[in-house]
Amino acid sequence: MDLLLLLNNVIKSQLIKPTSEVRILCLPTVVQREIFGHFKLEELLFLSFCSKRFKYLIQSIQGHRLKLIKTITYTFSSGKFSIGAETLFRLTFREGYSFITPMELFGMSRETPCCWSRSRCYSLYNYDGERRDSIIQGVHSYIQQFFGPSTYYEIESFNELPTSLENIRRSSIFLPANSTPEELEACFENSPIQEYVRLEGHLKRDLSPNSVIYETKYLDVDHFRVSDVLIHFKGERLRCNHTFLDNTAIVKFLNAWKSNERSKNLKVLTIHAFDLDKDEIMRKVDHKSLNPREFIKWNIRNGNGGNTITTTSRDYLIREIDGERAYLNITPKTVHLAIFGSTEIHITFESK
Amino acid sequence: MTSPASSSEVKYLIESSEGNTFDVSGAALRQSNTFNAMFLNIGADGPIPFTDYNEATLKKVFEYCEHSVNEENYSGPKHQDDLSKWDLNFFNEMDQKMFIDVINASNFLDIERLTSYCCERIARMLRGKNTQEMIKVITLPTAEELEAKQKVEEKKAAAAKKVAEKAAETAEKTETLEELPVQQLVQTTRNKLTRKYLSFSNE
Repeated sequence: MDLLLLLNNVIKSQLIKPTSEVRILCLPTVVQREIFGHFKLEELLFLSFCSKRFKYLIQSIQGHRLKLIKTITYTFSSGKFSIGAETLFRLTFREGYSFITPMELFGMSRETPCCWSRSRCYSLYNYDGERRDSIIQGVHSYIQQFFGPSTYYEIESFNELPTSLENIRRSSIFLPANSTPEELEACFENSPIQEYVRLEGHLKRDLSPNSVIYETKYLDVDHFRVSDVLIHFKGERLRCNHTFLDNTAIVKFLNAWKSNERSKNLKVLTIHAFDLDKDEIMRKVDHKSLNPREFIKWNIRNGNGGNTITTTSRDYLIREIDGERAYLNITPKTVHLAIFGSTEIHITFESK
Repeated sequence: MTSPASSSEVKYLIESSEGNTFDVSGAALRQSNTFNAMFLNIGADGPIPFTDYNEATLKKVFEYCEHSVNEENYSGPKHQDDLSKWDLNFFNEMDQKMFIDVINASNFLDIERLTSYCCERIARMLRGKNTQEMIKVITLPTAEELEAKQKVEEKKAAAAKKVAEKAAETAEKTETLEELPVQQLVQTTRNKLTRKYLSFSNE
């Protein structure tokens, strides 16, 4: 009897071929949604490489999950780059010159040397370092299509100049040694005017006076040569950290602002320097003061999620051409200047 | 044979597309939300017709339901490593057609556990594969197949257009034939009236 049962099972197993194929496109939408619900976003992205129709299907059925991605950050460092959205999504691309079998990923041509590294979670890829820029641009183009245009794209770079990508709204670059202004400018070629740019480090030479970096809405520089930045900056907010500006440079800038020669759009300026002399600066700048009993308080919120700085002052400057009033607070280590009435998100005034 | 009851002892008769009937326990059947919505409270006189699905598919679906009757605290599909011999056999005994039929039947009967179980199985079939391997699993048409399909559709559209044109032509001809006697009648009447008027005016 047992033998018969065994024989029956053997025959059954020979006749029935366990399913290894499923036409997902033929299944009801409810079932498709349930299937895609079992995948992480990295896996869904990889699934979308199968065909355009499949990509549209994923986008239409899983749109609610894709919309959860508000900000995508491209992080560049030596020999690799990653694409991440907090804990929801992360891809890492490692540079490698051998064992790269082109796989026609991210909508790129079959010859593009970029491959999936067979990690189970579909988050690791390898690419040919010599083709880094074109590969990242291809990947970014696909990511933009996949997640949609409303996502906020930003770049962070450490000791590596990033690839110039389209539609980037925020960049934070830790400059590698011996970077030239031309190399830095090239990073902004596809997204010239951004909302926020942070630069840390030294350039071999000064930026050109017409550099697009000066047109950034909020520029934050650290260990950077700022005398030129003060002259050419055209945006609204400027923060200079670890500078070696002296009293003369500050006086020169403040007087130039008063006479409308510089920084006409400026709303907030913060300078961190060393050994500034408030009395000397104020003496050389024609300023006004509120009644000794009055002073004004304002809060400056850093654009990159830093703390809010609260400052009080009774000293102010008046721009000759339009009577614009800028409150000024100087300590031995800082200069804060804020245009009165700039009640936007980053600055609020309170009368006391 | 069938009655509205909540006892798991009660058996219901199910009718398949072939017209065959077979027994399913009430406990197993109650995993189907469709059944619950349609028959649970009012009962069913005679076999319950699930005639969109064949007997083999329905038996497979209820085999799962009978098996999972005791899994009260079901918390989603199991991890790959936790699959029991029964789980493996359940899927290995199905070919592609039956697997799809089971998913569709499960979806129609709204058996959440089984649908989720099958979907997890599909996800597992895709995981760890590269694009080409995935395309094989989901059997996406190749570029050549798509081209051939498009050509067939174009031919079909052209043929349909021809048929439509012919039909329109025929209809036009029929209209003309139908209209001809009327026009002739109108013309004849008009001629007669003209002649009458002329003779009247001459008088």
